[in-house]
Amino acid sequence: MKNRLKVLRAERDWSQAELGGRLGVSRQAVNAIETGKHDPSLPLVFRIARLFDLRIEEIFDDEQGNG
Amino acid sequence: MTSKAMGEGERAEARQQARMRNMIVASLVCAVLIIVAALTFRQSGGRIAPEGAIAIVMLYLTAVIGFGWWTCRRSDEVEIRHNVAGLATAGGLYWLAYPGWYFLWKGGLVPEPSHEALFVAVIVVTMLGYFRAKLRG
Repeated sequence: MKNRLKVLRAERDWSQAELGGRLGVSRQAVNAIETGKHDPSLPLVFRIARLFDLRIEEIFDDEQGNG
Repeated sequence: MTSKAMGEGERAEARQQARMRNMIVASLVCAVLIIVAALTFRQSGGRIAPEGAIAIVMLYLTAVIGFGWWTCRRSDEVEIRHNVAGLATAGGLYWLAYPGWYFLWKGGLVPEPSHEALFVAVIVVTMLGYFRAKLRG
């Protein structure tokens, strides 16, 4: 699943570890999500959306190849 | 934070990593204690004194259940996925290897299955499966 996590993180000048700590996941988990190797669970998706104060669809795109 | 100062999230991440390191050290200490106990209570014929066997089993179960519970509580979903991949790989090995070895032994074709060798193999393959999953993301 494509996502804008890397862009949103960069806009806030956060490292992967910083974002991971704020979300309660590891830096490796953030990296896996950003690179599309892991599709986050629904609870984590909601945490991400709340953290960035955005709607889920504004961060994640479920259409493969569109992002 | 890309600057030198650690942000709130980075401090939380560092604390989590420190907790994980402590847990790994504690589990290694338990493993050493079990090996020392097995050697201390060893009797002739490769047997272990009953009180030693009970102590080892209690320590082992406490460690495995305790660390397993702690790991599940503290790990994020990606880490749990890697752990499951490792355990599934090792489980697959056990399912494949043990029955074959057992029946070949019963048929008098190979030596009796080695409990220790199987257990060590399962641990090693669990770790290999875990790191393979981790490297692949």
